Amino acid sequence: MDFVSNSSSTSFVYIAREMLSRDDFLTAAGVGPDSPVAPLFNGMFDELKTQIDRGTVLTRVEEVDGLEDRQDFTPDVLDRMKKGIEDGQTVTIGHFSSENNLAEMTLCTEIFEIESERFFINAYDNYW
Amino acid sequence: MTKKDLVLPLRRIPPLGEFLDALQIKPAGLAAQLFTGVYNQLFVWSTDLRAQYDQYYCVEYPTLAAYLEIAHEIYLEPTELEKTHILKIKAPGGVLEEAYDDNVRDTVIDCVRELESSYED
Repeated sequence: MDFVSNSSSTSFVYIAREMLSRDDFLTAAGVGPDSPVAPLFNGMFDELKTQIDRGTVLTRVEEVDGLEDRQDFTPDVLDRMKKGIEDGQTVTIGHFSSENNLAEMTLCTEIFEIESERFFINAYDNYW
Repeated sequence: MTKKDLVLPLRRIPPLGEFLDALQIKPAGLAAQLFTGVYNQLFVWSTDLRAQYDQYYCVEYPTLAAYLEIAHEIYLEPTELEKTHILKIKAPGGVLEEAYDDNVRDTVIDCVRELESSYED
């Protein structure tokens, strides 16, 4: 039988004052550093960091307005992005692909939000 | 049964909280979201072949072992055949997907086996 698969990509936004640290990510994801599945989350951190580095930094509220038509983010998240810019936080949007490795595939296919005192990541946008 | 299917003979199905604890995952957050999905694959959406045998196939096959071997091509040790649940998980996906080199299938199975042996002690 032939197998046909399509790729998918998911937009995400990362809002923070400083760059995400591994420890902050693991803590916010809720996985202990000695967990037997910590390597998976370490891989997710690496992918996330790579995609944040490759992402687009939004510096003006008007740029967020321009995203409204793309339906990549919910109105709540768009508001949060605007507030982040106004508060002087770094607002980065980027993409995941499901075609690379398990860590990125997982980030791509899960609908998730990670919030801590130090950062906010939203990847609700999710379609195939 | 295909190579990708997974069979877990267990005396007891661990509660979700115990499963997440064993993986050192807190009950809320992305890790819990992901591994609740794994839990569901293993324990909620799987087929309990012993239950199926007891309910339906005991008429057709003389023993559970015969049912597993003939209908599912599953060959278990006598100690495994005695377990309360014989769970068949069809082609586990997501983070258990073997097509990815960094899958956590063995890690999760080891954890389930440890929970099982701690229960037996």
